Formats: sequence, structure tokens, C-alpha cells
Amino acid sequence: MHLVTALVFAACGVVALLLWATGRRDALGLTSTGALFDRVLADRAARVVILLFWWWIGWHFLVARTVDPHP
Amino acid sequence: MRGDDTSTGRRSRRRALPALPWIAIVAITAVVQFLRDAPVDGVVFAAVGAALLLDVLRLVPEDAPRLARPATIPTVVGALAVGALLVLTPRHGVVDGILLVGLGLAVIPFAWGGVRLRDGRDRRPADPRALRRTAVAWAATGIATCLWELTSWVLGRLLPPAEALQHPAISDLLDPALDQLWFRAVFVAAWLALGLALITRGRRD
Repeated sequence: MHLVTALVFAACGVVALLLWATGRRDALGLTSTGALFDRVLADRAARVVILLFWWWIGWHFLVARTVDPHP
Repeated sequence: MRGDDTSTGRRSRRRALPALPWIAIVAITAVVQFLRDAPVDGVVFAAVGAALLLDVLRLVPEDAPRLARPATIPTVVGALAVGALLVLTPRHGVVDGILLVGLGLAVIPFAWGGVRLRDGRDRRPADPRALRRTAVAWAATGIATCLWELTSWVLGRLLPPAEALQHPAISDLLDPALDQLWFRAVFVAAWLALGLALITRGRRD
């Protein structure tokens, strides 16, 4: 089950990479991730929250305690 | 006068409605952080949620200035220096802490006010249907990842330790890899590149 769990996360990452690459070529009816960012991040709340999550990923993995102790 | 009030009310609703789902996401995340015994993270998310709520309620100044897009060469040089320090200094150390706090503070004006193009031009607008399809595809991927992470995290908390190990969260999987220099370098490079991309997007002058 450990492997299945890891593979599902890996699959999500691969899908994200494929979406990014496909959008760059305007293929499959998709547009670039940059264009999506331009649209979504035009709104202050979206911009603040997305940048907050970006910052938190760095904080979580590089500074804070990453793995929770099991009870 | 009445017309002005009505117009102001419409503007206020136009600003509030799109913000509410984002505020809800931050509020839920704050609760999750407190539940996982990460009070500092919880306070950060709660504070940002409160700031956005005050903005929606128009209790903060209406218009924050848009910043000029950061100059490319100094930004890239700065990112390389920060990246090198994050990779080469001990993980969870004081230097990483200072850098992350500094980066967080530096990003606040960009996040709140956004940036404007140096020459006033904007990119070619995307086809709205393609944009919608792209948004749905990214949202579905993001939601699937979050649900799998939440499932793994909850099972990891509820099951006995031996069985919980079968359901690792992303943090459990990445933590050992991040202790290796090469993987930390890849992670830091990708993370900084994404941050730079994010602070130079979203302009609509």
C-alpha cells in the first residue's frame, strides 16, 4: 500500500507536468499555465493565497518540522 | 447620492464574492495546521485570512500600489544566492529560517498589490474556452492531490503505527529525500522558479 500511495502522488505530479507541457504548445484545447496564472492572479485574494501556499511549502520543507510525530 | 451608494455596493460585492472561497481555503488550512500541532503555521494562515476578510469588508485602504516588475538580472542573481544558501546550509537551521522569513516579508507587497508591466503592454489574451478547460484540468489535479494527501494524513493519524506507515503523506515521502543535497537543490530551484513566476503574473493594467 505504501507503494500505491507514493505512485498516486507521483501520478499527480506527472499529470501536472503534462498539463504544463501541453499548455505551452496550445495542444488538446488547453492554453498555457502562464495565461492561467495571469487570469487567476489578477485577483488579490487569489494572488495572496497562492503566494502564501508557495511560501508555506518552502517554510514547511526547509525550516519547520516536516514529519509529524506519531502519537 | 443613492446611485453612488448602489454603485459602491456593486463594486463591493464584485470584490467580495470571488474572495470568499479563497478566504475559506485559508481558514480551513489554518484549522488543519492547529490540528497537526503546527501553531506557527496556523497563526500565519489565520492572519492572512483575517487580512483578506478585512479587505473584503473594506476596512483596509482601497488601493495598494502595483509594483514595477522586478528587474530580471538582480532578481535572478538574488534568487541564485538565496538558493545556494538554502541548499548548502543545514536544513531546519537558523539561516534557512531567516531567509524564509525574509522572503515571506519581501513577497507581501507583490502579493497584496500585484505588479505592472514595465512598458504597459500585456500578453496576448488567451481563448476563454481554452482558459476554462485549462483551469478545470489544473483544479481537478490539485483537488485530487489534496484529497489523496488528506486521506493519507488522516489514515496516518488514525491507524496503529505499523499500518500508518503504509499511508505516507507527501511530507513523509519527501522528508528523507530532502536530506540529500542533490534533491534539496532540485527542490529549491523549482520552488524559487515557481515563486519568481508567481510574482511576475496577474497584472491587468
